[in-house]
Amino acid sequence: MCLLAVLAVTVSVEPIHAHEVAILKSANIAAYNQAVSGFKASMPSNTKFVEYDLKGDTSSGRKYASKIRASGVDLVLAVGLKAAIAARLEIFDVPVVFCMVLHPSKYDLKADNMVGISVKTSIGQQLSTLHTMMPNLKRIGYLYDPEKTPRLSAEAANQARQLGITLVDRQVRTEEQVPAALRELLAEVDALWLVSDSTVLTEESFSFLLGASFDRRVPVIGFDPEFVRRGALLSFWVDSADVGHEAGQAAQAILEGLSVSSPRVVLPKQRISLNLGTAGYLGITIPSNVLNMVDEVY
Amino acid sequence: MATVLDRRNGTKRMSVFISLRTKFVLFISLVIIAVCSGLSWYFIRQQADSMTRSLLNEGSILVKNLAHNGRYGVVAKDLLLLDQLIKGVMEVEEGVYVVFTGPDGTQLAAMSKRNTYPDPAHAQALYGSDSSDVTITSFTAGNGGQREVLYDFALPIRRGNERQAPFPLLSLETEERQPGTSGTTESPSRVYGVVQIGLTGERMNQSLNRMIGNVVLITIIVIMGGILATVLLTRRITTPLKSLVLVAKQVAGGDLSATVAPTTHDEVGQLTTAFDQMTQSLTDRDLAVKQAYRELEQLNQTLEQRVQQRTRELQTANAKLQELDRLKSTFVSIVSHELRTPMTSIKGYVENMLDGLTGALTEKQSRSLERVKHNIDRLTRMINELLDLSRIEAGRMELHVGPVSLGEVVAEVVESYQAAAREKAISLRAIPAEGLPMVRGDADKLNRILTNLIHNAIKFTPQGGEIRVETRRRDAASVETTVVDSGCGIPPQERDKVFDKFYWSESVPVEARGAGLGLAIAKSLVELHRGKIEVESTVGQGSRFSFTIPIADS
Repeated sequence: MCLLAVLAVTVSVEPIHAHEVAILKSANIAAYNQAVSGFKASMPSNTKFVEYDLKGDTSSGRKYASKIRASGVDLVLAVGLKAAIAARLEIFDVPVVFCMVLHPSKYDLKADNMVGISVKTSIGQQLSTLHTMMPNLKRIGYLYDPEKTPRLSAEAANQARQLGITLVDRQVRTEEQVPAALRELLAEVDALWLVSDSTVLTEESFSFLLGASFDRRVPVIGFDPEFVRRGALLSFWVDSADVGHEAGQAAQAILEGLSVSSPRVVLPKQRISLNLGTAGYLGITIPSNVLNMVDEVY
Repeated sequence: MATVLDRRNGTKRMSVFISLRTKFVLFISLVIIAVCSGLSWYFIRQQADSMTRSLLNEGSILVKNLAHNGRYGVVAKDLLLLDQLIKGVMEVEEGVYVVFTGPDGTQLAAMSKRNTYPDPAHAQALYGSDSSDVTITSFTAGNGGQREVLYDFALPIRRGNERQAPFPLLSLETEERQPGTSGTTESPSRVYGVVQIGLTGERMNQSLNRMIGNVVLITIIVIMGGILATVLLTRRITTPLKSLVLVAKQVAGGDLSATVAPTTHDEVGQLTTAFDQMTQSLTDRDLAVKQAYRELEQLNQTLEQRVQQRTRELQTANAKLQELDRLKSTFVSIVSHELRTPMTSIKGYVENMLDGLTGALTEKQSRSLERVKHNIDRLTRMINELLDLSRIEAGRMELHVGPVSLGEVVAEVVESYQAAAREKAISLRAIPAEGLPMVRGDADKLNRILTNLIHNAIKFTPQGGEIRVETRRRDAASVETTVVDSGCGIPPQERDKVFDKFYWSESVPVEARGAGLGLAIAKSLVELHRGKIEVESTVGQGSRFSFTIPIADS
């Protein structure tokens, strides 16, 4: 009887090849760690992970990347810009999935063995949601430092125009230019769109941006649920764990033999946070269909 | 001020009289003043501390809030934002100035109500400091010609670690922007500027002064009220006491009719009631004493009359007794004198008959005549004693005083009684002292004294007894003669009576009794010689009769 059971198990369990995945992480920050966790959770349980932390040092990244290449891993997950650049420069014959890179197009991360997971959602989808929520929204302004952040694409502007929305931008080069530019911008727009730009948006400036916008009753739209919790009306954001999960899905597909050349960049799930208090203050009524789309309500 | 007589030592001393009411009011007033003043001082001190703490807390909160809100204004050098914030702070009544200083130490924005600004050194000192606490400095500044205390609250504006931004997705951009640095390394916070606000303590001082004024006023009112209440209370206590003292003085002055009625139902009222009862009791006792005095006076008057009456009766009786005594003495003298003459004659005839002058007598006749002669001698001696006593009492006994050798008198009397002593086998001896001085006396009277004493001794000394007659110098002024016998002795209760006239001891048989005048005459004669006679006796052992006679002048 026991012998039969052992034979049955032996016959039923097929030998599965356990993949080895190297994780190259730019730095030990919360967003990267969440992405790594999401990635690991989506991978098969028998997958072997080897993690490398660049600790923000690009040169270390290149050394780690060389080491990874020599180690013969099945796949490399590059988390963050520095890790992605290191992989781009050192790894050519191992599939690389990179994620948590804000502007991949800006750093030439295109390669045959690389596929990326975006941390941004579709501009068109965001504009559509905004239009649904605020039909009278005509002009949306944003500030950016051209040294750090690329201007919104013409495609995005075109999509906005189709919804009857005009995107108004102001360039700032230093923090000192932000207040004046903001005041000038707020006088022209119906909403302020915050972009991930450290010249414009800092811990100190957020309160100022929010306060100045509130003074003009201009809603603030951000990209982090924390903004909403602190008073912004709306945030379209990407969960780092979702990004990791998408990266895991892409990695599994690659490991299963799918070509990595298509698609090059995967868009993760868009999440929405909404502050009903701010909406009430600004006199904005949120349609029920929008409320159903919202992930977090404050 | 009053002069008080100290009854213990009879001296006068000066002392200050302070009434109970004054003492009570002064003591309670001092207590009320001390307590109220202490409490008021403590309250004012607490309020002053509280106000100061409140002002400092207000300034600290204000400067922290201003630093937080103005942080971006300093970082971005947004003067518009800073001006708005400054104006907001300057609306605070205590606010005097607000100063924002940039990272290079230059003044970014400032405003002052009185053109008063803090010392720039305060801000400069904070750039090199790691402290993130509010630095509070007080200084004085001019305000319209007056000096006022200003509190400067300074706080450095720091920028946190950009890698630890509160927005997780924003940290991606930050991380990407800083190649070559470690993401886990915390960059130190930087001082981007300093914010200072100045708050005046003038308003606090004004409030404090108003409060002090009110507290002082309330304290004075409470103290005055307390003193007034104390005065009224002490008056309520001391007024009945004063009335009591007044009435007590009247009572002390003898006016027992003074009364006082209790006005309260407390201890003072009880004291007043008790005093009134005491006064009533004194009144009753005074009446009783007066009545007793009157009765005593009446009794005294009656007694005096009675005494006078008794005295008169006694005087009358005494006169009668003196007359009777004189008549008795006269009678005794006359009778004795008249009896002695025939007795002498009878004795002469009897002796003649015994001598045979009237013829021969038979033995029986001779024995009878001897007995007659013996009784005649006894009767003659009794008559002589009566005559001597009569003379002594009548003051007619004359002493022929002169130097007398008492030893010779003693030897003579002892010799004369040897025969009688031998009849009773009694040893009678004279024991004179050597060198005895002459005494001043009458030899016959001294002989008589010794005769009476020795005669008595022989009479009361039994057969075979002993009698000694001792003579010695008693002191520098007198000679003492003692007749010592071994007789039956004299009972103690009779010793004081043996020198009385006509006294015989109950123990002496009647046949042995004489006139009972021997010792009385001896005593009278000794006293005529300015001497003393006394007796010592022990029953069953004998008696000692001693008398003293003054020594004759040399």
